[in-house]
Amino acid sequence: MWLREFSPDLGTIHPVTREQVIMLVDLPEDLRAAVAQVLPDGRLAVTWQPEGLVSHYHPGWLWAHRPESPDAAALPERRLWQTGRAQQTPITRVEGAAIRAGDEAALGAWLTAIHVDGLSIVEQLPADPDMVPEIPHRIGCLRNSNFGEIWEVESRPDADSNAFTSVALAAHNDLCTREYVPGLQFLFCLHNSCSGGDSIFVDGYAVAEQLRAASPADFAVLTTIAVPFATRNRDSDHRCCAPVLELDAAGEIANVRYTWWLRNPMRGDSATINAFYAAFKRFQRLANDPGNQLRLRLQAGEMACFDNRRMLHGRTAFDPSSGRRWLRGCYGEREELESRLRMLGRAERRRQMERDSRPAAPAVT
Amino acid sequence: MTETFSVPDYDAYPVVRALGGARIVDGDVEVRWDDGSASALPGCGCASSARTSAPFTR
Repeated sequence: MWLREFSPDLGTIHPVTREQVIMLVDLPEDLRAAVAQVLPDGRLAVTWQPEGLVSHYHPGWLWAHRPESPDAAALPERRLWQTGRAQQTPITRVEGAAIRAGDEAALGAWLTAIHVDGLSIVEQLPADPDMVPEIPHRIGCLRNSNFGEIWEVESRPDADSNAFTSVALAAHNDLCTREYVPGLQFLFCLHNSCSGGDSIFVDGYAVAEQLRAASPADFAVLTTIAVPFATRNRDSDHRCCAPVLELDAAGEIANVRYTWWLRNPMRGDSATINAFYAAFKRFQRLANDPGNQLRLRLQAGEMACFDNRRMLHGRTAFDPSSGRRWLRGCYGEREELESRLRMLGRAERRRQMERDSRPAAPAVT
Repeated sequence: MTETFSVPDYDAYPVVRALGGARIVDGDVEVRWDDGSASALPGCGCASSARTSAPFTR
């Protein structure tokens, strides 16, 4: 079926959408490849019986998708921050003017850094509020929430979140009360003249791996026990009951859910609840460990861009009477970043193909 | 059936390796690349009782 269902013919693939139009159940039960040969132009021709269809496969597509191969279009592997050496993590900084100009090399470096290291900083931007959403839009669409598509992080008397006060915020990630936690976060610094208010970043994946290595039982607790996260403010009531750490099909950490102050009382048996508290406390100690924290002071015109399902962020307390601290922020989605990165890779492959002078290569249309 | 496109998506596929031959083995299509390596491309899963030994053909 593998080879048959990707036959690039009009009856199998829509020529405009390039999406499949045939279902597996539409294929004959006694389908078989009857003839396979390489054509003079380099393509593979396969005759399917009893359909009588002759499918022609491009050698570049076959090589890229052969089952035993690594995915040629795969994104680079993530690089976890080193235990106890977070402050030495080399953070990629990219020039704002290059991103604004659509420089593909700068865009690629920026997006790759967010994907690989979890955090990148766009610097030397004009201290103009419109940089949000201009810079995030270089990746894709924004993610809206009850805080609005764009929000201001300033100390204010009617705060509906700890973020909008001047208190210290220990490392956390945002919107863990949502079923689908935003994948990206952008914090653009417009003013930072207060005493205090330094930024803190922690690699949540690295901390989770530290927990897995040091205490597999606690790690198992945080990956299996559903925790009642809840935001109960004046105008909304968002809740999501889910584990702190979510794993992918390969057992790798996929998502961290750690807005630690947004939880409801747990329900269930005492043993389970007590096991959760012990594991969560252990995770909290690791997240608060200065060796796992990168501290920096955002300057006006700098935008911190990070993976909100991996990175934890926080700040030191600040004195609002000593100056002004104003960050403008928004959320985006990890999948938009990944799509953009793949598109950059596709453009590079197309350029490579144009450089390829093999006479036998059929043109991709 | 008229073919109007050569790959089933919109990505770009440089020809990294050329095809050196193809044969059918147990319902799968096995191709040989110009570096001598081979790939089994799952065809229809209708393996016969014995593995065939058909030569690669161009």
